Amino acid sequence: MELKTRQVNDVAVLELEGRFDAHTAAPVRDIFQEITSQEPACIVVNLANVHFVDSTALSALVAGMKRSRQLGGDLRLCNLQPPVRMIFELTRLDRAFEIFTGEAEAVQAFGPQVESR
Amino acid sequence: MDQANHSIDFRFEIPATFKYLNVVSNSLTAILEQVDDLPERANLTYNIVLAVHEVCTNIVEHAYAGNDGKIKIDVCLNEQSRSLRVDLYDTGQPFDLIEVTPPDLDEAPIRGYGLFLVQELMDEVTYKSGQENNHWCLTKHLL
Repeated sequence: MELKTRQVNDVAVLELEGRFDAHTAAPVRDIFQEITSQEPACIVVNLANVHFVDSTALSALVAGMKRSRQLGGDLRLCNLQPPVRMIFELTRLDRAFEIFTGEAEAVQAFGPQVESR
Repeated sequence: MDQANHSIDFRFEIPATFKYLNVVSNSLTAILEQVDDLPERANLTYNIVLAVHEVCTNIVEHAYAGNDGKIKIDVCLNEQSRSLRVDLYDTGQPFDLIEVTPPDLDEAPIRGYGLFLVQELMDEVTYKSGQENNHWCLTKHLL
């Protein structure tokens, strides 16, 4: 899996590509760990190019989301492909995560205080 | 497909490591690509591939628990009955499917999605542990 990170103001954007599964989840978990070592932990995970997400990937995302919320931030998702979105709905994680159709929208939703920091 | 009214069988064996589970996914996807008139093809394919992947992950993590091992996989595509059956065999530690507590989805738990997904995504799921091996059988109706 390809993994790119960018900083948009105070929001860390992770762009993933390929399979996000038990074999590839470890580096993503490491990045979440690094980002959530300081407040506020504001993360957007762009899944536009992720065609496969398994339960290990869901676990990594939920752990990252819970940790970032403990630190006054959040982990938000954007650009889910329809089959991936369906798995989020089946597990009801579509209710736990804030999910956006586009990356800019997800970043902007953190609000002006984060964007201008 | 040429043999539309026949059962078509595929058999393969992979090392029980996460690294090669994409081989299973790619093979199943290729098999399903040959099925005509598959409803909601992308979603149905993803569901089957994910369920089988989750069983393999369970075998790697729990049955073999980091030790070397093999996963034998038989895929039976029956276009007449419009069904796909996947049998998976391992020789690791047996697993108690009944003991598994379903996740409380209202709490967004960090773990516990794997077997829930297997049971939700497939029409029939059975597991038996025997003296020679452990056997998962997953069936999906391709209606």
